[in-house]
Amino acid sequence: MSSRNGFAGLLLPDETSRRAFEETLADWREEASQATSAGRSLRCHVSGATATLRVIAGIALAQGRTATVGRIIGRTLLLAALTGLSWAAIIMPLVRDAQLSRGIDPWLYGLVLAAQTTTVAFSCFLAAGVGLRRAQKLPMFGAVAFAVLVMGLAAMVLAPLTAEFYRQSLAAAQAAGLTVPPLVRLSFANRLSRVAAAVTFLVLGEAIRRRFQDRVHYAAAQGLALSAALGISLLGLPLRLLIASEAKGLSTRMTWMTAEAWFELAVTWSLTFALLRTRNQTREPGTLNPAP
Amino acid sequence: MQLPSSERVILQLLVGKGPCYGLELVTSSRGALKRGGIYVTLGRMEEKGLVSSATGESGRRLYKPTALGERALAAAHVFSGRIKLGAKA
Repeated sequence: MSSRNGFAGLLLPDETSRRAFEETLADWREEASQATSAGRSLRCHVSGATATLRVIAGIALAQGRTATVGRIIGRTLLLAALTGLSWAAIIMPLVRDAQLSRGIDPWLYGLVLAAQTTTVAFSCFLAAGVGLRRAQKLPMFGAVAFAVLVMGLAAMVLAPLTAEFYRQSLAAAQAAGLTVPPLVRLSFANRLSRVAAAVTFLVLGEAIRRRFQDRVHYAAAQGLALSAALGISLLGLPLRLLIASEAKGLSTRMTWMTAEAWFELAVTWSLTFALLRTRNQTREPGTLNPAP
Repeated sequence: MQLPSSERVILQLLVGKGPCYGLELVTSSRGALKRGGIYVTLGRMEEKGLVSSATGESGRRLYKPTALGERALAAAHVFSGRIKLGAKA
């Protein structure tokens, strides 16, 4: 498999970035092979790793400045926020009385719901490649950097909201024995899994679109990527509902929710690698080489 | 054409030493060029037509200045000389 296909081709779609990355790795290998002592070898590996990280940061910075990344992130964020607000507006009247009877502020519940839905929708719309045109390759590192930035900011906004929501939930459920540190740890793990989901869905979506855009209309390929992301996001929902009815403590519930989020990530990565491995099934006529 | 300092250093080294590998340029620059950025800069310069590259005997890319690159360096020297003269006057 050439570097143009597969995972490297997905991450570094343009020739300049790919060559910079490959040459830096080659320098690292060359220096490490020439090292005569363990100390020197260690120094080579440290400087090689630093140089590689600097290349990635440089590529991300250059790609992040492009209009394409701005358009992708801007439109995705707008769509996700609209989805989050709409979903909260639909659900709020249905659960308002139930939340009030549990002693939870319904507005707080609505805010947390809108914000949570926005973060999930953001990951799914990223997978769809909103704002990306047909045959336009995603500037992956720039998009990943911005996606992490957006999700990080969202986590910062969500953290105090969810903390207050959990505090009110705890008071309502009178869950004894759950102290603040595990709650913070679980909440942090949950947020981290959402940031990771944004990145993995971005990669999965690009893999799906590239795999199918030559066979079906580009909008259909985008729809397929969105459906896959939504499907994976909803994968653990039956399990979550079962846990919610069975598990007694909020701690147990949150632990399972976090485990479920990481399970979804594992499914996403497996699917992405499976798609990339089977990418070139058609061969160039008369050769064993993959079709260009 | 405005020449960023890293591109100027690369062109000076390539004109002075002849064709070089990326890592050679970093070593020769005595800290002026960084390993993490050299190939991105060289790629950009190649796109601008200031340098050209070919695969060398070791299988690595060997870079050399183009005629345009040499002219851009000469122009940058003249320009900086004028600025220095202007500052003295």
